[in-house]
Amino acid sequence: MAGAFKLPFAGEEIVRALAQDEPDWLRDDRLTALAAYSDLPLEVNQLFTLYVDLRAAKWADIAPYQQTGAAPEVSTVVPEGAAALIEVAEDRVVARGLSDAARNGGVVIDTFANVLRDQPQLLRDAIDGGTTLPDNDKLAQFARAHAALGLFVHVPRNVVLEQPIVMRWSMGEPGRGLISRSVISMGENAQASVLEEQVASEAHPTAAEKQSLWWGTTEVRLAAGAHLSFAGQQDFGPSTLALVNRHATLERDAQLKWALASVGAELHKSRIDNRLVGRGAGVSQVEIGFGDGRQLFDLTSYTRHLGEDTTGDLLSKGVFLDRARGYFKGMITIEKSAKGTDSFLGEFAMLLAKAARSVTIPSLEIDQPDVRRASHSSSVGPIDENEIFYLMSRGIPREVARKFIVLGFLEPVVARIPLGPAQERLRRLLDAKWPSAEAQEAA
Amino acid sequence: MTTLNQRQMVDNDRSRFDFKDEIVYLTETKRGLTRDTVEEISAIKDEPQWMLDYRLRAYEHFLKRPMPTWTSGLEKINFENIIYYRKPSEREEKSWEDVPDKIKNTFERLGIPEAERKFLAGVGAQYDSEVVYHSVREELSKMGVVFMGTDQALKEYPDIFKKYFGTIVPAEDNKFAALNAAVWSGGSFVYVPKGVEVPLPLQAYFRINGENTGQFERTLIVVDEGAKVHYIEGCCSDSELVSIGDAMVPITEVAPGQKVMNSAGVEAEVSAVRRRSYVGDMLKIVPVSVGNAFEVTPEHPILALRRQRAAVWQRNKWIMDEASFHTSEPEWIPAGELAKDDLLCFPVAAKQVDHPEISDEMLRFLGYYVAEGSAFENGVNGAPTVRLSFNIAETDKVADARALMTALSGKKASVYEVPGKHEAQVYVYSRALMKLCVEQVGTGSSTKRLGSHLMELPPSRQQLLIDTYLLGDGSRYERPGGSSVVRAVTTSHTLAFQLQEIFARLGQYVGINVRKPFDETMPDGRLIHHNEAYVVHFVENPGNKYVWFDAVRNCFWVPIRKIESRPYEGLVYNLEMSSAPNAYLAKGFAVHNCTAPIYATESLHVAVVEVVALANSKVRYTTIQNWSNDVYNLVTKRAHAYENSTVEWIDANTGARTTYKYPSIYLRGRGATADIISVAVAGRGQHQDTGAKAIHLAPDTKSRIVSKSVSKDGGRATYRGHLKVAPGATGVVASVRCDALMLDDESRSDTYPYIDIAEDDTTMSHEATVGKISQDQIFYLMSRGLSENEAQNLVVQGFLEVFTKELPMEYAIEFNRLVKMEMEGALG
Repeated sequence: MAGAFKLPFAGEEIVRALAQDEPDWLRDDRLTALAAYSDLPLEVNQLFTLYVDLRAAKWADIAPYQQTGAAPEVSTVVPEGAAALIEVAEDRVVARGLSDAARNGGVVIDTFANVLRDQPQLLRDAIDGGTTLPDNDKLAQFARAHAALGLFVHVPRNVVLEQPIVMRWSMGEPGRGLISRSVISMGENAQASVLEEQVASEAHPTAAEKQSLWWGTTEVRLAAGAHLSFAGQQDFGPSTLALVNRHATLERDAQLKWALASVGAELHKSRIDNRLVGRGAGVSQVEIGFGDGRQLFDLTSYTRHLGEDTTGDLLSKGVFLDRARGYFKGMITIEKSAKGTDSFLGEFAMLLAKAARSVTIPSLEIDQPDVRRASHSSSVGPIDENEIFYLMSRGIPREVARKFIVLGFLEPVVARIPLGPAQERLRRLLDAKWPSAEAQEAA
Repeated sequence: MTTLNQRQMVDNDRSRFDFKDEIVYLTETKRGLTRDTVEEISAIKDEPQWMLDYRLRAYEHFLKRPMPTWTSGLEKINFENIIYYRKPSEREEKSWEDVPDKIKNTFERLGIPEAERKFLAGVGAQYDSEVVYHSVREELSKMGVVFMGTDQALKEYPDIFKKYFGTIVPAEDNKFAALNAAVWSGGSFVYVPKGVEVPLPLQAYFRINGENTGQFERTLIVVDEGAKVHYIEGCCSDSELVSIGDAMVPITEVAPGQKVMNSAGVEAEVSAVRRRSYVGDMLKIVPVSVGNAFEVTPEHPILALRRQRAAVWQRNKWIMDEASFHTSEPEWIPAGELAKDDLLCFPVAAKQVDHPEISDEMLRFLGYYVAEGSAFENGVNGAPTVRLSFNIAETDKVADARALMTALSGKKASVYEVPGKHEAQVYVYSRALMKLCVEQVGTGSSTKRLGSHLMELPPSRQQLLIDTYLLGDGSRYERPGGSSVVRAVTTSHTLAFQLQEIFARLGQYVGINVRKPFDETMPDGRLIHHNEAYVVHFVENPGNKYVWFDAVRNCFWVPIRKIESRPYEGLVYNLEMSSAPNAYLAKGFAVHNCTAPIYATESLHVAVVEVVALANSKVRYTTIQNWSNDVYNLVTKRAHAYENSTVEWIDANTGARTTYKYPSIYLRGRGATADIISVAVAGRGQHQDTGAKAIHLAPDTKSRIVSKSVSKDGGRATYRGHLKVAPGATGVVASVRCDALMLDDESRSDTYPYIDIAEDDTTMSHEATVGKISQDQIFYLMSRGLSENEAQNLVVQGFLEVFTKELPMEYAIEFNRLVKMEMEGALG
């Protein structure tokens, strides 16, 4: 198994070059990750059937950026209603700014390179040892070894940010790729929300001959009592490959909310790991994928309950048009130590075209029967004809009724996007998916 | 039947199912698997060339194919140590009388011909590699129904055989299907012609007898258009109920890692359970306390003191010489060399833990309760009631009990006199007190037992309970010469041995005698039936001591009253302890790990079942799998369902060490229906990895999968499923439901479904839950007079009812019995 999957842009030489200006501990951390990447199988699986499908990726066509840095002019304007902004276009940081409230609270938002210069210990405390990424995931270990850019967000203890921190990425240069890490570290009782936007580069909004690649992480550490609400929108162009690992460690009474929407990219592979370590920690997660054309969304979610009285409420939803496919793999693991766990995982898909396909794999591994709830449920089906009939009886045309029902199915995620304009933008994105469905119906 | 529900308290005994026959096999292949083995099997069977070619192709594939990556534990199978073919009899018989006696006896003990007479359309029986018997009712065979061994069908129905064989499960399907295809032998072949409905089930029994034997049966069922059949298979087993002394654990259920009491009265871990077949004398060692009699093989070492070393011969009997017995060393003596009056070692339990939450008052009250009490919800208003009954003249006890109950419950206890029965009842309505009784002692006179906390209290505190217990159940009569005999009678088997253990800690060795059940006519003409009871008795101030306490070794020395011998043929068990002394207790007496030759055994059951359901037909295939816990059970079951046909797999797994089995249905014709019910019970040391697959290949097909699993005592239950709706399979309706019940913290439950939908008008729903039994349910049932074990058993049976209700009644009863056996002792 090991070694069956190889990336042309991986290896010790590349890793050492990337680590050239970095401290020893970070270089060693990269090399450890490289060894893990080389040894791990692509899929750690308890199934009869392998399901990870990366055949759409033409790795040989892609040359990831090896040098990243700041653009000649970095904007410091913070958008209205936001606490901070950092924006990366292809391989350059083009904007970075903090509101007065954030700056006064001691919030950090910067690249690894700058943090290593200014407050190296802060970064080392957060990531050294690799505990912020899953040790059994080949792709996460690849990113840990080969990241060419790192972003670090730190909210000190007891700081409460009312307004969201915005992280914006644009990518799309044909034949290029960005491999990055993003680390969010929250002190005790800190509260914040993050909005991550991933969009196509302005120069390359449409399909290109060569693929581009965005490969990143979100590594979250929540100290006791910290609250984080993380909203993500992925709207890359149709020739982009998007691979992401999101991993969160929650200490006592920490609360995390994920609201993630994926609309763009040719291939979107995401894995979320929630580690509920401290007593009373809780995660709520809503994730949607809306695919058309030949898009493939692989949305994996692993939640591990270690502490007592931890809660997990995990929901994945997908709508698939044309020949789009969705793979939803979810796993709830309840360790022996996790008495009083309450965990639910739901995976629901709507197939709107004959050739669309959905695979759902909601799994449970339970070592502690003393739980409040440990269950999953999933369903796949067409739009309920009764609902269409109901709306039509109110004078709404059939096609509009279908669209309403689909948008209603996805609305729970939209409603969780923290910034008004961003929420509106996501609604427009979802709405814009629709015409191709009509084209499909007509065809 | 009833004997199986009761725990047998006899070491190295055999029960109804667990026995091994000493068969001289007509033919067997050499251990291990080579190309020659495959050729030899084919040659013995005088098969056509195409079958030999097929076997060899499969053999090559088996060698090449890696183990599936998602399994675990299978790497322990030593394929080289298995005997792949063993032939017990010359040919397959049609008349039961013609089956060789030894084999016939085996199946008769399993009740097979009995079942056939009653309600089956046909019966087949397979013993190790070969089918020994098949019969089908005459009227069915006239209608063209074929039910015979698969080997015979290859010869008699070559056309239909070749048309379907290996088409449902190809040899290359998976590693174990390849192994089966290479060395298959036996199994059933069923053909039901067009339009014929077989009204009664066809039944096949499979038994593995030889150790390290593989059974590789191959079953092919072809149901022609519009026909209907129900096929039932029973994989019967070795489930035995013997015990190892006062730990009251059936020896067959003891697993490595479990703690039992060793010969020093200390809990120690078992490192291995050994089992071997044995033919020869079985000795029954009967000590002066005859209730403690146990059986062992003559070579089994037992800790004893020779009478010559510890006693002197005076006036026709051995009189203990206390001076010499303190100085002589006890020895491990093979049972066959023991003699009457030799002294056996009865160790005193050493573990002591105080539980301050159990007060002295509680102990005194519980003593009365053990003897006289009942706890129940009042039939009139459901009030939780605790009641003690005394003789109306025992006013002191009534007053004492009343004071205790009032103090403990905080409510006023009342007395109700029933002069007609000479009875005074002390009662109080208190949920807290009822809970104490139910949890610490249980309810029902024959099922009362002392909870583990009571058993490990310091002796001075246990004395409190014993005192009031004897006031209730005890009686004393003076004997001439100043001694007196104290006796207490209980119908609870467990309680009798627990009392013996506690008395030993109080410095008193008590004997246990068994009182046979009897009927008694009372003076007023009423007939009273007395159940079997255990009389716990000892002598105070005896003139002549008959047992001796040894303070140095913290044990009692108990003389042997007699030794009986009987011929025996069957399996015997032995434990190996992980720490010294390598010795454990049989009925309270110290016996050593046996030194006779022993070997760990494992057997392999690798079957393939192919079912073809042609248009409009209906097939139901029911399995009750209860292999013994040394069997690896790796089975590929698959059906093809054509237009408007219905296929049902009803599959239960309670036995085997490891099961990997996922009955599958390929829905190939429009309108076909698949129904799969899979239940599994995983106990100590077991992994039940089961599930189901429904593959929808045609429009308007339906499937329903229901899986229920129970894991307990460290067992692991896994559901693994695959639901696929292929492109073109429009209008599919599918559901998957998985529920898992975990009975304790050591157990594990996993659910891995895989649901792949490629059609937009599919309606699919899936739900899974994992949980434990609700304590409220248990408490409620216990308040209605059930023991904790019975309550748990009832809840589990209710949980599995979705399966049971699909079975013919005789099987439902049998299955519930199997579950009950699995549940026995779940609470330790």
